[in-house]
Amino acid sequence: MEFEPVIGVEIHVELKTKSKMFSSAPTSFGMPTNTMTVPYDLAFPGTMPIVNKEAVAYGIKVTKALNMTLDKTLYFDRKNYFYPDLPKGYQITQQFRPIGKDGYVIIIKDGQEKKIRVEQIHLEEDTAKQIHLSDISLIDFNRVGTPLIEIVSMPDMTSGEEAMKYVEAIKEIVTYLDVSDGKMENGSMRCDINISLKEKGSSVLGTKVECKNLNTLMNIKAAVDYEINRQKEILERGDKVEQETRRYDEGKKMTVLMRKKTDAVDYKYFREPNIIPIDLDDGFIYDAIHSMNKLPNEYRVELKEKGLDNYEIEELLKNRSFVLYFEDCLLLKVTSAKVLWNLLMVEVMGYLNKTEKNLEDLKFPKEYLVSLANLLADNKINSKQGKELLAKLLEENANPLELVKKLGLEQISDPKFVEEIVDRVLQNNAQSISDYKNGKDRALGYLVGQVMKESKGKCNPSLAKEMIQNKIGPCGKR
Amino acid sequence: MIKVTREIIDQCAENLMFHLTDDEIEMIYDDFDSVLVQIDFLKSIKDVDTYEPMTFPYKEHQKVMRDDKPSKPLSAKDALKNSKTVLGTQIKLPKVVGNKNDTIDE
Repeated sequence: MEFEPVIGVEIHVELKTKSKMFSSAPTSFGMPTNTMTVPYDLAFPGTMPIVNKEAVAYGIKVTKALNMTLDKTLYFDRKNYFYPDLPKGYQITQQFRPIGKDGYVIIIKDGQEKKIRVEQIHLEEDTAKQIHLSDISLIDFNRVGTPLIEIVSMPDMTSGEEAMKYVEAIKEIVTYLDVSDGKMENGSMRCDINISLKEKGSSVLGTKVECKNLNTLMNIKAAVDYEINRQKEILERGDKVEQETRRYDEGKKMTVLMRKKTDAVDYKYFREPNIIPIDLDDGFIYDAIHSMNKLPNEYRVELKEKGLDNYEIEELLKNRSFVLYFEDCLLLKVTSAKVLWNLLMVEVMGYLNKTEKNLEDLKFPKEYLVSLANLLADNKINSKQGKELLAKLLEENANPLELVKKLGLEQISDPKFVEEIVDRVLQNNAQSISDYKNGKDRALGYLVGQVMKESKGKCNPSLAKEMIQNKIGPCGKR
Repeated sequence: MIKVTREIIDQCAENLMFHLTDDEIEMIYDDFDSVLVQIDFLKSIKDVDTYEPMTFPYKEHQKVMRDDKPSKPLSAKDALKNSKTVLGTQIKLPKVVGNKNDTIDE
C-alpha cells in the first residue's frame, strides 16, 4: 500500500517588542531569572491586561506579509489550563477571532513554486520557562507574557524538505519585517509539526503525531523524514499509529515519545472579559502597513534586475544587514552589481569573519566600497591592485580613489598608449612569438607580463592580451 | 439529557489529577442533578444561535492600547516573595514531566 504524508506546522514567533503583550514588564532575553516581571505577569489579584500597541502593529504587518485577511476588531480569548508555566491558570490568545486568516506563503522546491496556505495567525502571550531536572522542576517567569504570534498552516506539506522550506520562509519574513529575531536556537521561533500518513488518493486522514523541540531548520527536515518513515513502518506492519507528542532527539537522530494523548484536551475557551474588543483605527492600520520593511521576495525581483544570479541573491538574502548594506551601495551609481557583490560577500565578509567583526564595525563610508567596485568593474585597476586597495580600506578606512592617484595605480586603457608598448614588446621578443606560433600558449602570458613590466603595471592586461593576439594571430599547434 | 454517572466523575477526577473520596463523589453526583436540570432549561430556549454571546455588559468597543514602553520590573526577591519553595532565584517544584534523570527545557 502506498502512503502520502500530510504535514501541518504551527509556529510560535516571539515578537521583538520592548515590553510584554499585556503588561509593561520588559522583555529582554538572557537576563537573570525572575527579574523581568511586574505583578500582572505573576497573576496578582486586581491586576488587569492592557494590550501592547506595538505587538498589534507587528501582527498587522505579518498579516499583510502572509497575504491574509485582517480582522479590524481585536478580540481575545482565554485558554484555560492548569500548569506551572502560567500562574493565571489561563493563556490569553485569539481562539475565535484571529487577527489574520486565509493567507499563504510561496516556497520554491526543485525550481517550482508551491503555495502553502496559512489558516490563521493569532496574537497571544508566552508562558514561563521551565527546566525539568532529574527530580525537580524550576520556573523562571521572565518569559511569561512575552508577545507571540502563532502562525498555523494548513496541512499542505508532504515532506521534511517542504516543512523546512515553509519554516525558512516564515523565518525570513518575520526577520525581514524586523518583528522578531527569528532565532530558533534561542527559542524565539518555535515549531510544532503535525505529521500523519494517509492512503494514497484517500481523503481520510491518519492519526497524527505532534513533533516538538525542533530548534534548527535541519532538525525539522530530519525529524519529519524520520517520523514519516517510522509511521510508514508501523502501518506496513499492520499496526496503528498512536496519537502522541514526540520530540526530536538530536543526538540519537530520532523522534522520541514525550507523552501519549489519550483524551483531547478541552481548554474551555471563552472570551477574555478583561479586554473590551478593540477597534483598530484605519490610520493605525495604514501606518503599520506603510512602515513595513521590504520582504525577501521583493528583493529577489529587484536583485535579479540588477544582474545577480540566483546563487548570489540567496547568499545575500541570508543576512538582512548585508542586504541593506548592498541596497544602500546600489543607490550610489554602481557599474556592476556582480563586482560589488563579490567584494562585499567574498572579500568583506571574509575579513569580518576572520576578525570577528560585524558590518556595523566598518567605519568607512559606503561610497568607498562602491568606488573600489567601480575601479575594478571599469578595468581601471587589476584584481591584485583591488585586493591591496581593499586591505587599506578595511584596515585604514582609506579612500580607494585617492589611493589610486597617490600610488599612481590607475590602470591605463588608452588603446594608443597600450599599443605603443605592445609593439615595443613584440619587437623585442621574436622568440616568444615564434614559440606561441609553434603551440606554446604560455608564451602569450609571458608577452602580457612584459607589457605590464614595461608599463610599470599600469596597462590594462585584458586590453594588452587582446591586442597581442590580434597582432600575432592564433596559437599554433604543437 | 447526559447521564452523569459516578464512574464519569471518578474518571474526570483522575484526568484532573484530583483524588476524590467516595463521599465527595456522592456529593458531586447529587449536585449534577440540579446542574443538568438547569442546562436542560437553557437548551429549551430556541434560536439562541443567532445572538452573539454577551461577554461584555456594553456594546461599545474601545481603541485603547498601551504604548510599548517598559516599566521597572520587580526584583527577583519581591517576585518570589510568595513562593514557598525557591532554589536560587527560581521557583522549585516537584518534577512535572519526563522520566527521572531526564533534563528537558520547556
